[in-house]
Amino acid sequence: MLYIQLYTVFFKIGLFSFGGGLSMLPLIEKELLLRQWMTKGEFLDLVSVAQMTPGAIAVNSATYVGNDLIGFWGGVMATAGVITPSIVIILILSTILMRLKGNIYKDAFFLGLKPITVGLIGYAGYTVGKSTFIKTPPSGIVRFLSDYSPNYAAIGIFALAFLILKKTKLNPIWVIFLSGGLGFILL
Amino acid sequence: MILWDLFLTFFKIGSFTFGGGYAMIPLIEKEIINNKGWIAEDELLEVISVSQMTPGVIAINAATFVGRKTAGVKGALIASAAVILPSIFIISFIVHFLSESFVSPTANKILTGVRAGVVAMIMRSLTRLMKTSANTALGMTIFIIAMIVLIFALASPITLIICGAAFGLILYAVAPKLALKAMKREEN
Repeated sequence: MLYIQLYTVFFKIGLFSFGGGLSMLPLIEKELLLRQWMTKGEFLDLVSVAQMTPGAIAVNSATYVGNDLIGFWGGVMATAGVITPSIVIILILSTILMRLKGNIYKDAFFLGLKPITVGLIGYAGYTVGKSTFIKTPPSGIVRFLSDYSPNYAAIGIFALAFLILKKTKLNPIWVIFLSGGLGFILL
Repeated sequence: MILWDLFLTFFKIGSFTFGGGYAMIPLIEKEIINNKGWIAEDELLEVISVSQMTPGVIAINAATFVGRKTAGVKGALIASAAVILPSIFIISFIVHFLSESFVSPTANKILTGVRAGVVAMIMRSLTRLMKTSANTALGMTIFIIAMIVLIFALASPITLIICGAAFGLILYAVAPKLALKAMKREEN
């Protein structure tokens, strides 16, 4: 039955992907093409919609596929599948972590790990920044360094947003609205 | 009521997270650490670290963890449900009513602007998180090495994570005094 299949396929995707979001997309692509649930072109539509809308990319993709194949409840089923491993694993781990509060080995473990995590967050900023601040030339042509030009308006929006976040206590949600509005006007 | 509060907060976070799991961090900082005080900055870093190491969706991992800490298993389920609801509604709507017309040049302009704002949000969180974890020479060095390794794709994130955790444990085993000193500085 398609409902159960949707659940199990997305359960598998949720269980075997590390690092979240974008790193999940190749796995999702493989599963979808293998089952002929989507063509390559349809998958690319999915990726652009999943990235353009708010929310976790994996959840957006699951909802999209389920809706496409069955309808609203298909979307719910696929999403339930992709989030089940997360919920179960974190429930177990959070219990362990809470029991280990103050444990010296736990602290030693996180001593090396936390700066790495901060690095991963920095890298996420770097990746989003690279794709936003640099205009890439259309694919299919030979690329020279001069083909890449900085997107000054986007850099300006970034600088303004950063200044607002640093100097005021404005909720980041308003910064999102402001940046989107400025993008519409300036870009 | 705490469960309703959790639901509303995570619904809000799910509605305004653009650009994947990490873009959620500034919103969690604002709503959950500053406004509600449900977890501390340092705990947030533990949540994200754990999310990195375990499979699954980072946003759901974080919601489950915060929900569990705040209101037990029920809280975990409610927070996770709340963070996915906006996606379910928005994506269902798009698939049935908008499809291709959604991906337009105008939408793209707005999205590029939003992304520029998201980068600023991530950078702002980064400076704050560095104060709690990369505030020692040791922490700073690990952070810089991690950035270099990631940018030049010298190793996968998961390898880096395992090395980081192992390094902390080994340091404590080999030079406990040094490790303790680093940890104490961290707790400030």
